[in-house]
Amino acid sequence: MKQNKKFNVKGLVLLALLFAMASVLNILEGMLPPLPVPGVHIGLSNIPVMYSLFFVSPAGAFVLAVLKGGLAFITRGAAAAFLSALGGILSVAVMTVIKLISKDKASAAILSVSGAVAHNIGQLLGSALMYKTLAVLGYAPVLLIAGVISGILTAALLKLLLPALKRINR
Amino acid sequence: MQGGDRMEFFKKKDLIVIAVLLLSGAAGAAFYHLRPAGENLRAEISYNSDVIAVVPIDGDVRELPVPGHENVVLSVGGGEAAFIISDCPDKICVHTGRLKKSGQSAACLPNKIIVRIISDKGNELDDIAQ
Repeated sequence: MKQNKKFNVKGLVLLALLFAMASVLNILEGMLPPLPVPGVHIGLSNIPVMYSLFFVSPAGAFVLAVLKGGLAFITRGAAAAFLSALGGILSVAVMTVIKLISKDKASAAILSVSGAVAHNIGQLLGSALMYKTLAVLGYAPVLLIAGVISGILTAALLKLLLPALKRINR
Repeated sequence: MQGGDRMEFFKKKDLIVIAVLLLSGAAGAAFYHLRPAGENLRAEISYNSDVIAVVPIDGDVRELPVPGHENVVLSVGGGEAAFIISDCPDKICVHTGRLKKSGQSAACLPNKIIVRIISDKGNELDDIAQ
């Protein structure tokens, strides 16, 4: 029997596990008390996305960003799904570009920070588009600073979780 | 598996990038918050991007249910406007707090309601964009 090499079962299962993790982290983050700054999240569910991008494949990270949009659609509706997917895809795109132009020399922290800032900017542009007003851009400085902090935090958590994540990807 | 464990967690150069990001954030915030409030301030309430009411925000503080969407209640007056009650799940609109300056806005995304402060000089950010 001829094997179809394009159908990578291991990669598929890994992606499914990472998405399951992102979903649980997303729900977990929703259960935490809200942060004092409106609209700002820690971005825990970006940890599996970053793991995929850094150590598996950028393509998988893009798939995860889209799937996360699907999760937001089920749990929070179309508007949230649009913002989630826009932020997620822009975030993965920016991290992929930086990873490529630095020839894999960029540190995890800087990729994570750029990704988090891009995620916030994507969501802000998305809401500007949805409400046809640029007034929301007044919130950009807050989201920029929040992105830097959450980026450093998620990179640190990724570093911490790396041994566990590697165990599912042997 | 590409990359593997060799990826560094943090480099000294990263501090420069992070400092630039934080400084531009601080500069943006300073620019946004230090500008004058504007004259003859009004709260512009819109639903689904259509303006449904414009209310002056000087005068006595009063509660104002959003016309046609009484599940959302604003507090307007004393030169301020704010969401005080909303049936949305996240309450981001309520947590946004009080709006005092031209161009500031608060949005209740689930209810599609946006409140924006406008002044006689118009909205500066939208003016720049046009």
